[in-house]
Amino acid sequence: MKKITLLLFVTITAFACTSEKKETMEVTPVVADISIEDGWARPGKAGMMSAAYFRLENTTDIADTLVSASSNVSNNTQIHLSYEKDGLMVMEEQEFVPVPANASVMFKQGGLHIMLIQPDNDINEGDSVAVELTFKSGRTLSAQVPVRPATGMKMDMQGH
Amino acid sequence: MKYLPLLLLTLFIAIGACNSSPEVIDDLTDRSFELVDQDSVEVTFPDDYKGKYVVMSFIYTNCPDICPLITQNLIKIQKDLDNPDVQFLAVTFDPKRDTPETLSKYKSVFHLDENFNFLTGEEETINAFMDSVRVRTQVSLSTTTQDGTELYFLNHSDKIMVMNPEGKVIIEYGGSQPSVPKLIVQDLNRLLK
Ligand SMILES: [Cu+2]
Repeated sequence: MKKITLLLFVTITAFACTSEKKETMEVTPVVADISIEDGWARPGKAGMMSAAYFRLENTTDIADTLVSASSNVSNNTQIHLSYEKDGLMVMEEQEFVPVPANASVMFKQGGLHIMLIQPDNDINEGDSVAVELTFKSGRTLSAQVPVRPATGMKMDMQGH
Repeated sequence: MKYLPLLLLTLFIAIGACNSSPEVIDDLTDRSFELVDQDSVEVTFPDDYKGKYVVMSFIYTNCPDICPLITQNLIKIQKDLDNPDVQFLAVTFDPKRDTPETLSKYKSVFHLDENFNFLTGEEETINAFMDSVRVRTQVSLSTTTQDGTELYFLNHSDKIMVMNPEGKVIIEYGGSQPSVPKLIVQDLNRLLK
């Protein structure tokens, strides 16, 4: 048991040193490698509401934290979370979203989402939306996500 | 303590009674609400829908996440049911902003047919309507947009209901859960037999 504690201590110290090095010296920054996977945005009308969803995939041993989001379709792009509270559906802006090491974080309907508030133009099926995410480490990540109805919402019934 | 067996018996009878007769959740038969749809066509609810099963939900169009999810569930029910005699309604609880024009734009995003309509009305009427189906709302976060106008969001109940041809609500489920369309389709198929 002592050995494990010692090992843990060494590991933590090692990590602490790594992150300190990153901030104080001009070495190759050690940041998490996070990618945006399976992104999509809901179609919407100019001046109304839309949202973008994706999965953040962190394949490294380093955690990071999402701190802001922006997009090319709306100057008011926010990180939100929907959840149930006392029998009501509630939506809250999120100051940050932790992305743990070797983990994925789902942005999906009924949960975390990137709010595209009052887009300047219609967001039509077949278009794409540029989403840019900024992390606490300073790293930014961008992706073009396709605009489409939610999965399982193929509009075949209208012969569209 | 000696009344306990009697109490239990009463409880069992009560539960039994609930299971055997079709349960009425909200009786709207003698209510009357003057509403308008997304094309500004006036409707009287529930009278105009009597004789049909109505699947209905409660939304607002400034809702970017949950309400589209509820709308998608209604769409899925309509598609899987494939019965043109069933009416689908989404009633806004935000009539101040959800004018017929706004609802019309919202409807167009989802490519819906004439059996799927969005309803709004005078604020007072909508409030009374929402009370009658026990839909609660409260203003939650508000944010200021670039042009300086206040943009608010609403916390709200999340449900889909089925009203029978007489105007009685007989089925109620959570609105946004992915498991709900299947359950409602099963229930309706049984009722429509
Ligand atoms: Cu939101």
